[in-house]
Amino acid sequence: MMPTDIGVDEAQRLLQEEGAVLIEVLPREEYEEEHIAGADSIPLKKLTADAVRAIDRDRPVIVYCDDDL
Amino acid sequence: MVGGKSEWRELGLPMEGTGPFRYVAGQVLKPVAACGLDATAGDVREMLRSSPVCVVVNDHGVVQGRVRPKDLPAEDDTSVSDFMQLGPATVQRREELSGLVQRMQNKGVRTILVTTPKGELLGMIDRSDAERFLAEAPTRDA
Repeated sequence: MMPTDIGVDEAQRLLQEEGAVLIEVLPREEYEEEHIAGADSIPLKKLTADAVRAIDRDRPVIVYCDDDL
Repeated sequence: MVGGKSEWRELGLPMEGTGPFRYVAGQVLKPVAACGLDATAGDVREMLRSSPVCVVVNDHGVVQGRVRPKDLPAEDDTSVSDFMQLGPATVQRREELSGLVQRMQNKGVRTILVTTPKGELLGMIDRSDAERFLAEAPTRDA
């Protein structure tokens, strides 16, 4: 499946209606300080095939960082 | 997700973590002079009489540039777009205050602009105000 840009509204819908998985890719310390409720942490530098193997591929996966960048 | 954690936070949606933090928002965020892209050097010169910086915004309030007194040309009819400094550094209002002040100190920055995640101007942080605030009330939230 190809990645798609979505906004906050669609992210909320996917979380509520489709049980989406939410992944923060910022450094671990930033995640620990503050993250979107329910998000898991996979820092970008550790985003390997092994790291994502445990993610449920039957659910939408939403990846975010701090802003648009 | 476009907008990321910042937009989520700005919208007041649920967050978790080890906070709370003393954010840029609140008592240390103050107004800053702003003008449109159609302003002239004369307009900006007048605004800089009461503000250390004049921010140039587009029709949507999004920051386009910044003018300090040293950037002003001699001719009052020069368009601001010809002398403004493009792409000034900005922070968002939910940025943690003490970390921001530390970075400003390290880089010798005296003021910084505060915007929404979409780049809309909210105001300005004066480092000396923030330093005073942190020194006077080390445990309260900004």
